[in-house]
Amino acid sequence: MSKTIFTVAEKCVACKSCEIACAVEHSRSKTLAGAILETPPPQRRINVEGVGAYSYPSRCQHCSDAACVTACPTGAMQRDGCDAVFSDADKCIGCWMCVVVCPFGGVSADPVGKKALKCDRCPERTAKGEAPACVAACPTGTLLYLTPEEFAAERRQATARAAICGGQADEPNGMDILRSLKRTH
Amino acid sequence: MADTTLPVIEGALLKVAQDKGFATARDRLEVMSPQCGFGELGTCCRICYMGPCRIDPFGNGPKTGVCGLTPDAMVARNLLRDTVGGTASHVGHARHVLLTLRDALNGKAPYQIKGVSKVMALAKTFGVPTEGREVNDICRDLVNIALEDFGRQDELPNNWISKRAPAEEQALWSDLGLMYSNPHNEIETAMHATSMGNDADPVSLMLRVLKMSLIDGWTGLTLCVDLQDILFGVPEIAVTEAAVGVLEENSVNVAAHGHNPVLSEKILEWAEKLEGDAIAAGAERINVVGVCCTGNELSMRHGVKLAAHNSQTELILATGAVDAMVVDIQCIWPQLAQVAKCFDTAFITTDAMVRIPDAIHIPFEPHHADESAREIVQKAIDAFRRRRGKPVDIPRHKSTAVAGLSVEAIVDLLAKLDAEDPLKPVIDNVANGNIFGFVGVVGCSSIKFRDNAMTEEMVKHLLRQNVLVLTTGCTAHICAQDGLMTSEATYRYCGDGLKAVLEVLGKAAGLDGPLPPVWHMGACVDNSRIVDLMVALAERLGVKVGQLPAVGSAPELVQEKAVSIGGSFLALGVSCHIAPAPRILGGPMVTKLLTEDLQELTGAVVRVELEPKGAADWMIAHIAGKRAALGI
Amino acid sequence: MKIVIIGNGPAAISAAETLRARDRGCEIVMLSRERVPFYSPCPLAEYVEGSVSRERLFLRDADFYARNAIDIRYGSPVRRIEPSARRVWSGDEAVAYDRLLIASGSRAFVPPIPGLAGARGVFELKTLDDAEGILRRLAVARRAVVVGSGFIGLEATQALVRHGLEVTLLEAREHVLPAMLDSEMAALVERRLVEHGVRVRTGCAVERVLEGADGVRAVIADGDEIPCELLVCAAGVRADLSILEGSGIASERGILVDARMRTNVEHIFAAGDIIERPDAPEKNRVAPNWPNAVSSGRIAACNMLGIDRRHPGLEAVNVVRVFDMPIASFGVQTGETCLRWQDGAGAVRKVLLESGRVAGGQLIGEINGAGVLHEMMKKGTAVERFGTHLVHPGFGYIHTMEPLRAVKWA
Repeated sequence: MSKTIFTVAEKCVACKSCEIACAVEHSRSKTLAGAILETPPPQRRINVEGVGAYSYPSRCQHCSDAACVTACPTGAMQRDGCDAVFSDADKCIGCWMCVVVCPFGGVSADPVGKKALKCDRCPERTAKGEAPACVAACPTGTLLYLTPEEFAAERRQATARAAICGGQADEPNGMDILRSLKRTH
Repeated sequence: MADTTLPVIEGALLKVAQDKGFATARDRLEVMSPQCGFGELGTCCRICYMGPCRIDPFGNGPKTGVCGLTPDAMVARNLLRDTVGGTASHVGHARHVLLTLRDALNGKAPYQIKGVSKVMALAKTFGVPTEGREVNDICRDLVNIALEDFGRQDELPNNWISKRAPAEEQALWSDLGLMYSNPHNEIETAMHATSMGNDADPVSLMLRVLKMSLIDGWTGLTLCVDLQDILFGVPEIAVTEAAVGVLEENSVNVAAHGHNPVLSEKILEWAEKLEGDAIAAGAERINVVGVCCTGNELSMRHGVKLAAHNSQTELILATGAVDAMVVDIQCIWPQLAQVAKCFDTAFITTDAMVRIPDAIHIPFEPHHADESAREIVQKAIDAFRRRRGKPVDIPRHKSTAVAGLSVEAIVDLLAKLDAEDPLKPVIDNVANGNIFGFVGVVGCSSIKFRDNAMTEEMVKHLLRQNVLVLTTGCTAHICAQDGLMTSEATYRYCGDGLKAVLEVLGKAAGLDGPLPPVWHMGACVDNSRIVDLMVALAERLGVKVGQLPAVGSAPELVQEKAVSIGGSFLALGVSCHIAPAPRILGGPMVTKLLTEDLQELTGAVVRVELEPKGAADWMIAHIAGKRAALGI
Repeated sequence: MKIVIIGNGPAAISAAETLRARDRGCEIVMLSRERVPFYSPCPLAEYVEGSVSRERLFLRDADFYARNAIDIRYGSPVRRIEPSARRVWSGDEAVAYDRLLIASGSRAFVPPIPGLAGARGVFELKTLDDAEGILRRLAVARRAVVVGSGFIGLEATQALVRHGLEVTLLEAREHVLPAMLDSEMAALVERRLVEHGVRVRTGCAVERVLEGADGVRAVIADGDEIPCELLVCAAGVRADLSILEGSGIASERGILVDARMRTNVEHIFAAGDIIERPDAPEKNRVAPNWPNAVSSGRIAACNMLGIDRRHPGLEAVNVVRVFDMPIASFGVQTGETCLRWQDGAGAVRKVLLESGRVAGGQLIGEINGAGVLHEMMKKGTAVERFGTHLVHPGFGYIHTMEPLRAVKWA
């Protein structure tokens, strides 16, 4: 199986590094300093959403039966060789049908560029063997770029480690405390 | 969040803004959410340019900064810089008042000494001779003592803390190395110590936090309030009204917003002088209303009505009924200029330090206070002329409120019960449990906590358990708006013991009913009044302040000033509840220091509770512990 | 097996592609009313405007039909269906079938206004022919009237404004986009139109169309004469049911089909704009749009081949742009509770609730997350626990999932 992006939600601290890295990767200059000066400004395709005491980096799920592909009346929304759904900006007319049919909110409307925006899994990076920009930027290991087998193996090992070390051996970390406080709010 | 108890006034104000299509801070917060966990935990260090550095709270990523700074040192440095921000604000305010007083005495600024009793009291404290001397001469001596504090390089103890703070606590602070000399030097040292490659010891840094907080408490607050009382008079009990309903459709509404009475007192004076111009313009009168803490200052000394706390400032502008909002320093949202632009509201900045795009800037400095104040009030009348006849949308909510409870006013009141020993009735009622304890509810009003009426609900829980609530700042506005500063509130919310005490006090004060259960003690800078009251009670009882059945609470913390004020309570040994969580949780040792180990140093701890009942329950339990230790 | 498809639009093409992908051997005949290969009708307004080229409309390459062994017959409108003989009549020619798919789509509704039908310079905007007719007429037109303010009317309006025409938009109902928006939201759209120079007249009945020597010259509406050289009639679309006459195929507003896209007549299926789903909730019974055409064509194709597939439910969501301002709407326009959000810069979102469930939504300016809300409406998700967060653009599907387990994962 090929690699894809996995999300370990409990590790997200809502720093939004992935959002910035995504916008930079989808800029012309591909540097932060250059990207912020570009017109129109580059747009992110990942969105950190707050969920109670937790947060979650939400992006396209690259569904197998993708509503956005069905809904696209210009053939812009399509699937690439790695099974990622992407939108061809040249063909997109910004009708936003994909935005209103996606049950995950995975496609958004770029108000300036007037094109549909969504995760394309960074084909230029992955072609070079690099992880997608959001994964590379994630400082807590929330976003991972692995094959399903690798991901399952990592989780198995973690579960085993936790079982052998007695599960709750660690003191709660600051994030645990912050979340437990917020849960009462 | 679905289950909210948004206060009705907030609801009505939000509707006004919404009907007119304004986005408010609530909307901006939604867009901002979720907020960055590194920031919330305090483990983002932007102090040097090898950074920004962030510590992975889950332990897999970076464990220290590029320079090797540990997470504990990182959160402590950041907390110290927050504290410096708060202390610098109050110290700057204090120095401004001091220089105004100096210039008034020299005949260079048009202000008179209205607080003669305060001059005399301070002269006694500082050993300034008074026999046969003019008030202004005595006052000049006090000014020189204060000026010395700001100029000394001899490392001798600061005059204000050494003469105004209780002796036993001073000895402890000395042992811990927390006594200070010149506040400016310490602010400089703290900024220096937190820059790259300096203090990296979390304990040392946390002691600096306490030292910085003491500077806030005794120079930023106490000195400032002492001098403000000299210039503008010592507050006396006054009845006022609070909430947006105090705006008047047919009057020139002038909202004074900010913190420094040097401006707002002059605005009030000129509003009275120019009333004729306003009437000629078709207005019924000039209605000066107070916003944020300068509003509290005016209500304490003149019974001026309170229109809005900080998080309502943009909302009252959306009524379209404010003709001028004149601001000085601190807590002035840049957004205000944008809302004002949509109406005929003159949004006027006055301080060179607070420049906001799209605002009208009229420099206000004490030497030319009259000219500037006159110009500002004229601008308001002009704005009224343009507004006249246009529809406004003023929610009618308002509540009466008793204000002006300075320590002097409280003691005067108590003296009517026991002239010899005014504090005795309080001590007796604390001992017999009628007054279970005291909570100083201080600080800001936060968009993050308005949805669940954090302050109001917490205060009501406290009152039911016979806890007397002393409040200042924007939490005072919240309590006033919610009717908690009325006799009815005593009947409605207080436990029987507290109710009985307040009934007796109400009678002594000549009120129709009991004294309100929440005492309005002023602006945020007036937290020194709460401290003065606690110090007086502790001295009368012969205990340390930290032993009193008293807690501080900043239930809706926003500003850095609330951090340094909280620190000054902790240094005194008064435990504090705060919400939201301080940005230290990324440092486990610092977290433990503040929540547990500080007990060993000063006797105080910090507690975070984000919902009203939990906060009140913890404070009541903490007070019960203090009572048990005192054997009452 | 011989499969005949009436139509050459998105439903017909998605059916044909599905058939060929699943069955290399079947015979596929497509009978097309029009004389051009499959094109997307959705960007026609952009084509008129000039922002989309003609070749971009054609979504399949030149030898699509040949490569897929599809017998495409252009200019072959079907007159009659004869189920008893398993054949359809196109002109004088009978075409036999084993399975028949009716995917002939919808047609513009032309209101019975004297002088309207047949006048020169009067167009619909439903087909490529219509678009090209408008483009030709632009050479002599300086002023235009658009009748009807549904999304086709609004798209036509923008295209004409961008060509520099003076455009008057006439709407018989009390506000624009009456099928999508309530009056408050519609007022925002009207303001946007007026800002771009469009004359908007609502509650305005068109009485007659006047024709001169050079074609249409004016419209009489509410007693006023509005001069124009071009008129776009965008008064809605109707399923084109004329071919059903005498066939016994049941229809109301459209051909009645079950979730497998079967009509009441054996071996006859229908897909696309022409269908009506009697088993779907009232609001969704007819939803002529691209995603439904594609998905229903695909479902019909599978079932024609005996592969059992059921349609999950029509997408009853509309989206349109008015001078770059996006507008999305679904479900009801009034509800027990209306949650509201606005950003102060012109974007307004409303979500309507009935019995604690999403019943509709109208989003202007900021439409991100519309699909999440629409999905919750379709699923009947209980939403009370989300409070006012629901209406905020940051509200995402993740909120609807079970609370995260607080597992420690090293």
